[in-house]
Parts: sequence; structure tokens; C-alpha cells
Amino acid sequence: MMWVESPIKQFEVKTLLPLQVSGIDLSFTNASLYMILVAAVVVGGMWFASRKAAVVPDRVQSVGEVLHGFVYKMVDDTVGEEGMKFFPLVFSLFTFIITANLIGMIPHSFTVTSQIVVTFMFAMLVIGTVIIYGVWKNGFGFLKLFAPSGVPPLLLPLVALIEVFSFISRPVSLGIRLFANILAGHIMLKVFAGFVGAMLTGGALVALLSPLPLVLTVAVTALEFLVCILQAYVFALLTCVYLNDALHPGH
Amino acid sequence: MVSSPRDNPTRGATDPHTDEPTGKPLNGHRVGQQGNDPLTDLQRRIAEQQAARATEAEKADTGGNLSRGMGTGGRMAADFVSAILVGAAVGWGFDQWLGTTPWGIISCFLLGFCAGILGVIRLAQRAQTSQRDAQPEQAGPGGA
Repeated sequence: MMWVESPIKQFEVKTLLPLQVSGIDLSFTNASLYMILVAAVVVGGMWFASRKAAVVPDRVQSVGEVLHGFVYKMVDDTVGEEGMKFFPLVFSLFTFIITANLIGMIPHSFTVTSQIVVTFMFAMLVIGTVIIYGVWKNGFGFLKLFAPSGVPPLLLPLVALIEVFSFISRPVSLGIRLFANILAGHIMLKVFAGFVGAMLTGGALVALLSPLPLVLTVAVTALEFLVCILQAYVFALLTCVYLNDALHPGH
Repeated sequence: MVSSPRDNPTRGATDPHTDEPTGKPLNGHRVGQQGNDPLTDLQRRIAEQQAARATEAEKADTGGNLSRGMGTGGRMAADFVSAILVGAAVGWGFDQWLGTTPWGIISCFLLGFCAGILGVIRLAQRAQTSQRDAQPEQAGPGGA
């Protein structure tokens, strides 16, 4: 059973080029490598898609146009016309996350979004943008976010306190959701795939049943592709929803 | 005997035995709608394609509903859990800071729980209204 390795070994961050700058570890790791790879795929793909800008698009240009149109519609539906200044942010987040998720589906590759540091920093980026832009645009009016309309004045302090908690929990749930979905999915895949090898070597009767986890692995792989795309979509959609709060704080 | 249509132009292209139109050429022209034949054929093919596409789109829509439902469900779970976690963490932080040991974590845990329930209720209401109106999700109806 040599090939049944630990299902969480795939998330190990390995140092490729050690680098210490005044006591801070800035080593180039496999995570850095894959982040650069993802960014290169996104930028290169979009450049390749828009290189001709033909009226009748070829296949790559169609993919780029569909991607652009999809995110454009999402921002327009959720935030409206004035949210278009955030379109580059939402589009970058969406394309980076979806590409990182899909590259992670290639066997033996590293999944950037399975690291909570990465997803949590994305969430902090979104919430930081919401807070800074919301305060800059609305001043103290941004605090209306914590005071829903139609609440009796007596209950307002309690409701405002609950709203504050629900606001603080936003970046946490945003970061944890993406990280947990990707992590759990990849562990599940590895565990089911590990069953195949373990059962094959586990005796005649068990070996006969070993195709079952194989079938399950194939099915779970399909599900994981859905989750990869869905989580990127949910992340981008929630970014839009929270940005909408920054623009219109009143409930 | 059997007369060819050409011999009897006033009767048009009918079979002399049954008086049924035969669709044969009359004086080198086609009779009735036969001049539209390529058009009606095209119409029929377009209608067929449209029907096929409609069922395809319907199928794709149920797929979209499934993934949308999964997305909403996942959001509910994550919002609920993270609100409780944040409540507990903030309460623990207050306790460490002010030395009010059990009370901060108890009250903030409960507040986080309330925030989690509130988030789930809002999401459910939003999903219900967007399902009813079959419209894209609008943020912040604020029903609570």
C-alpha cells in the first residue's frame, strides 16, 4: 500500500527558493509558483482572447467575451450602473479564483485556494474596499448599514449590535467558504481514490468491490468541477452584494 | 382515356379519377403553395430547431436552479457557522482584555447566534422572493 499517501499531503507548502529578508521568510514556495502560474494563465488567456478583437469571434475570443459578459451582467444586476467602477476588481477576483480552482483539479497540482491565508486575504480585500469606499462615499451615513429601517427605537441598540456581528462575520464566512469547499473536496477525492488501491491489495473479496470507489471518484470529480465554478461564482456574487452595501448603506 | 394535365388546363393538376390535386406541374408552373415549398420547408425546420432548443434551455435552467440552490444552501451554512464563531471569538477577546471571564463570551456567543439566524432568515426570504418573481437576486430587501 505504498501508493496510499496521506490525503492532506497535497496541501503542503514546500519551499523552492529559500529567501530571508531581515528575519521575514519570503521564500519562493510552490504556492507562489502556482499563484504566478494562475495569474499568467488569466492574463495570457485574456490577452490571447482579445488579440484580434474580431467582429466574428473565434473560439478563444468567445470564451473571453462570455466570461466578460457574465461578470458584467452580475455586477450590473447586483450593484447597478454605478458599480461598474468595481468591475475590474470583481472580474480579477472571479477569473483568478476560477482559474486557481480549475488548475487545482489537475492531478498532482497545487490548489492555491485551498490555503486559508489566500482566501482570507481575498475576503479582507473585499471587506476593506467596502469599508473604505463606504465611509469615503457616505461618511457617517455608512453607519446606517447597522440600523435597519422600521426597528422600534427601544430595540435599536440590540439590533445594531447584532448587525455589527453579522457584518464582522462576512469576511470570515467569505474566506472560510471558499477554503473549506476546496479543501474538503480535494481531501474527499484523495480518500476515495485511496480506497481503490487499498481495496485491491486487501484480499480477493474486497478486491472485487474495488471498482465501487473508482466509480464514486469519477462522480465526485464531476461534482468537484461544479463546486470549483460555483464557489468562484459565489465569491464574486457576494463581493457584488457587499459592494452594493457600500454604495447604498440604507437597508 | 386518361388525359394528361397538359391536355386539360382548365381543371388544373388534378387526378382525373379522384379529383385530388396531384401536385404535378401545370403548364410549367407549380400550382397553389408549391412556389413556397422551400420556404415552408425552412419554416418547418426552424420550428423543429426552436422546439429542440426550448427543451434544451429548460434542461439547462433546471441545472442552473440546482447550482443556485446549492450556492444558497452553502451560503446559509457558512454564514450561520461563521457568525457564531465570530461571536465567540469577539467575546473571548473582550474577556481577555477586560477580565470579565465568562460574561463576554456568553453574551457575544448569543449575539453571534442571533446574527447567524438573522442572516439565514434574510437569505431564505431573498431566495423565496427571487424564486417567486423569477428575477435575478436583488441585494438587501432587509425583511427582519
